[in-house]
Amino acid sequence: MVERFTNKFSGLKRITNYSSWFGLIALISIYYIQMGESITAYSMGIIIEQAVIVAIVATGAIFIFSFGQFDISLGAATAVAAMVSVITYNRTESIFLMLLASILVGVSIGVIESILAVLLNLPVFVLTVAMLSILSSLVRVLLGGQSSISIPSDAVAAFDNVPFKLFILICYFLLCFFIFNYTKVGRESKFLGANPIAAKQSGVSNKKITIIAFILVGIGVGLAGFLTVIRAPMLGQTTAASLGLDVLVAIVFGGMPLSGGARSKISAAVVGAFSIVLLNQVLLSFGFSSGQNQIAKAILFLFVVFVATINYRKKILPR
Amino acid sequence: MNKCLNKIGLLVFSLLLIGLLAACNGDSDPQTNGVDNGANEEQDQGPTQKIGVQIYDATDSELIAFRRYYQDYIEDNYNVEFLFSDSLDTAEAERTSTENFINQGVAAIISFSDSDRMSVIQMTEDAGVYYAIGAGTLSDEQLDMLSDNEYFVGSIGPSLAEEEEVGYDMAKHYIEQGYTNFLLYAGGYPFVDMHLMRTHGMIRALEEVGVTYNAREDGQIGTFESDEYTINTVYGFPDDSGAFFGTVAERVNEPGLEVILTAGLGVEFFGTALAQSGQDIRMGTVASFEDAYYEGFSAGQVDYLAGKFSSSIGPIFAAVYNAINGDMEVVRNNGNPFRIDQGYWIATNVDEFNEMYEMSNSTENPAYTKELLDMVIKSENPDTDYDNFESFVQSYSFDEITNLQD
Amino acid sequence: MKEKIILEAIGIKKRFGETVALQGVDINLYRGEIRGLVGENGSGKSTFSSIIAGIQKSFKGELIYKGKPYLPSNMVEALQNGIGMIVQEKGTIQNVTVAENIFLGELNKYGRFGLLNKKELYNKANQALDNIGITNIRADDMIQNLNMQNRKLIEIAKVVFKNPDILVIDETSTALSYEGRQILYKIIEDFKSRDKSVVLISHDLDELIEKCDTLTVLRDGKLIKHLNKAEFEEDYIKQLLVGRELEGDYYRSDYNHEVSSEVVLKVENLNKENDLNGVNLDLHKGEILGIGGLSHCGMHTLGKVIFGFENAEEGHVSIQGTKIIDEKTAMKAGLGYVSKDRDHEALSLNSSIRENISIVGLDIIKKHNLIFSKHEKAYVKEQVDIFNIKAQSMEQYVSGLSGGNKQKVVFAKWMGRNSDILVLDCPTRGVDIGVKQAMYQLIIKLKNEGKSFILISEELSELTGLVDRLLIMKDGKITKEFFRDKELSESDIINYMI
Repeated sequence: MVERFTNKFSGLKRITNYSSWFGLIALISIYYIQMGESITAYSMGIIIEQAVIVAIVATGAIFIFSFGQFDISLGAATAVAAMVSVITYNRTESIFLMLLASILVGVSIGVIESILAVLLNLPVFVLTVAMLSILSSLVRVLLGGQSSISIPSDAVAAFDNVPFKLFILICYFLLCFFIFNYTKVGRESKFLGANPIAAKQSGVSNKKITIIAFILVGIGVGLAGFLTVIRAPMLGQTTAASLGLDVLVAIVFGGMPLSGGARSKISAAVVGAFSIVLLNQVLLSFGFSSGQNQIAKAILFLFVVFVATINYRKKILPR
Repeated sequence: MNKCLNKIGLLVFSLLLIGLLAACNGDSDPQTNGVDNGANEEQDQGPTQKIGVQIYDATDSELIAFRRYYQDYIEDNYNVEFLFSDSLDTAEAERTSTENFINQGVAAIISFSDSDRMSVIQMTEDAGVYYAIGAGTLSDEQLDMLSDNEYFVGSIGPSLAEEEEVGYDMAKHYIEQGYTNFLLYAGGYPFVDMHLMRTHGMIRALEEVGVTYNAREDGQIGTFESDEYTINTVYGFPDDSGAFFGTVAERVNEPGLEVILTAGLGVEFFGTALAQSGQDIRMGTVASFEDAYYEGFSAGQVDYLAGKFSSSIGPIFAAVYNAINGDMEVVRNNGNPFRIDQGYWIATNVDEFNEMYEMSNSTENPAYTKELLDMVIKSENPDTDYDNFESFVQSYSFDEITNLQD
Repeated sequence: MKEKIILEAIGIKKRFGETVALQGVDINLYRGEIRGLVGENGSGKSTFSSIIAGIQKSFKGELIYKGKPYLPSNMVEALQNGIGMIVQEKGTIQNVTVAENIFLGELNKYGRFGLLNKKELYNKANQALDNIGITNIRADDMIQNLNMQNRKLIEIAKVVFKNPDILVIDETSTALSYEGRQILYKIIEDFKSRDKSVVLISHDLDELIEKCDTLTVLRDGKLIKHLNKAEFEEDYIKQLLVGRELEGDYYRSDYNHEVSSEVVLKVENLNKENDLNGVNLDLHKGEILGIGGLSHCGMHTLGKVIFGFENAEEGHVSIQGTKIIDEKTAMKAGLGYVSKDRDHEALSLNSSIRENISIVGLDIIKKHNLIFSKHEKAYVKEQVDIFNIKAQSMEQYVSGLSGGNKQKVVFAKWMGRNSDILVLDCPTRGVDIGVKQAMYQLIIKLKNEGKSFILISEELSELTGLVDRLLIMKDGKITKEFFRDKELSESDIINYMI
């Protein structure tokens, strides 16, 4: 009987699966109408500029979310990766080593976090709360009492352009997309999120998935750290501090279920990141002040989460 | 089935919300237009020009006062609209704000934010947007680098020498009255330039009366030696641990303390400890003419204030306004961007303070009124030139401005 | 009939959105009658019982109770009027005591000035438990420390304590264990002897035939037939349930217990606190090895340990020399496991049929370490076809499937990767008769192809009908071994279980 009903709506359901895409398209349309002729290559450029770092970290974070876990330390991890890359550049004057250092730091943080989670058998979320505070302190240590550390902006000027950043995003996205959809690990992580016990009884190793997911996120964090330095070569205590939250918001806006599972999709990260930047631009174009802007975004966020979680409060029908 | 209904709901709601936002804006438009039209009648000019204002902290009371002056006074009297940024606490945020301002089509940016200023100046030059520094100063080297930047207007603010002088004057004020037991708050020493310079000024005044200052190798604030004078120090800012306020209370309660000299943030950091100590301790500080200090003076906690006044940012607006009107030449210093010192108003007793406080916080009759500013705006006063502008800015003291008004 | 009617239901209709659950059902219930309500999943029997118990309100039709129109607005009101329903074990509330569960909603009767008179409350609760002959659970026990069966017993105690005139027992998904059933049967008989009525909903035909005076068969929301005791005949009832004649055999037709001497799985001296106490067994190639016992005799734990889902403290399981340490090694050695708790453990309900089937077959599906949709779909389609899983497409979520189809997905998952040995824990729980028959025939067919099975079950007829060899467990030990035999009777077996 349920089948008959679903059948009737399956076409509609297929369309609504892409509702976050519609949201993005709606935002693009409104932005276009609002801005009219003042949309230039510059406008498009800054949208990419502002979305790219969040999009990269969020893309990696989808892995962790897909098996129902939650990492709030990603912003701080990115800050640490960025700091280490600045220090590396100042010692070696090599962009390549700087990138390498950033990725190494990102991956190391991921490995440490995941191994601790697996060894201590702690919920990832709890662990990342502790990690957040450790990493924030580490940022302070790396600053060494100064208010900021920096590299000369000329050093990275050659990379400070939209095509390069877009290229990095696309490469990383493709890597994650590929692993998520075409490998055993990706499939297993989704299944793990959908039902951990059924996953275990199907031979899915929670530990293996956790470690691999954190390594993948680590690569993203490393790239994001590098791009953070390119975007603003001067880093301080609050660098990337809001990134952790932005990533979370982006993922939710992108249509990723917070509990992970079967409906997890990697595109949510990119759709969400661009949606937020566009939403911000649309609100600015309506002349909202920054305060009103924040409130409008927060309300929309709450609404999205509310709607997304209605599904958990299922109706109980007698059989 | 639930799921798809929800998703549709979400979509509809998102669109509704955005539509609603659009509607709200539609409602508010006629109003602002109405105001603008009023201004247009008077001034008979083209479309409203947008000016972006970058601020480091949207909750800072000094910046709130600045904002009131721009939005409640300047916007009513000139055909401009100010867009304010979020709190810009990172270089990244500063860059994002710059991008957004450029994208919103601002003609100029007035900045009170300095995370990575040189990069922002580069971006504005590329975009053909004027840039001016509302408070703060540039080094000679930086000014050199910007000499051929057509879009960099200039800077108005206390020079580092001026900051040093402020600290010196404040310390001297108390030394001359015969006080000998001081607590010196060095703020962000040595990382925050203005705190560093003010502290150095205080040190110089003390050295003049025979105190020996021993600098520390690591650059942090050092120690003082003297038979006659007792000088303790505090530095840094509060963090999550609460240790900062503990130290402050300890120092304030040391027996014999007579005067607290702060390189910034006096009432904010020392007010509570002072009130609790119950001792007769004086405080001199560099801050601004705002409510917290009004209460500080009234309660006798503070008796010396070197402070910014809300409309002190009037002249930088005048310069930017000239620039966006195409009258850049009147604010060009021999073809180069200007750098003009502007110091503080100094109140040394409660009456002085109250007089200055009143003028500083008025949006009907601020220190820099339209009549005053028009003197250096070429579209209003075709005879004005750079020298005129420079001396206008330098006549910043309370007395000079009240004289000008008369 | 000369008996007095207590409840009359006339033309009851009920829809859930687009779904018609009941389409005009007439039932008369008499005083002193034990009425069985039988039908496959989705037949409407639970909907009907929840209407008379006040759980469902908006329906069409008329209820006449004790000669007056009757429309309870909720369960509590229905119970006050004398109609009590024992719902599934989910009715209990976590983190409070047994007593508080029994007197849920009436706690204010036992308090004064906001303070609970615990002593009185516990006395009453113990009395309620004693009433139905439960002595191993006490009023101050915490609910979460009790197993499903005991929670259900508390539900029973709670309802019976109110001494209703009509007792509705919905047993749809949870088969009580042997002891639990004995308690329930005593209550039913007691009700009958006091001229009160019972409505019993069950999947277990043997039980219904034995205990009920009359049977009402529902199918697809329609009343199919009322049967009197004289008309009770198993094959006939099954035919009414399914709507057609069941063709072929239900269980195994042969009584041959000869199997290959090749041992494919060895269990040696398994010990696990409270559950397993030195278990040894050999499983042979092509053998269906049954394990029976009361629900906490340790057999369910044994199944989990064999598959590596739980670890024993001592002893080990091996397949041709390979020790099973976790699910992965078990799967590598060709083992599959069908959990008793299908919805929570064997399947991910909010994943598609495709995902559920392919999750254990990824190693087979992958080409050069990559999984392509084309290969995956082909793999899954093959299984869907073999098992005749009824769904719109393989992308449908498993949550929308009937119990039987869900179980087919579980079987398909393990057979898709060509498992040689399957551990089946209550594989036909909550499954319709038609599907049950198909499953049994599938197990027999696979056995003939050389696959081996460990069949853990609480249904004795299922065990005697299928297995080559039956091990009976009690208190974590194997107490008796039976071989397949036409003469093997259920009462012989029960003696070794209790």
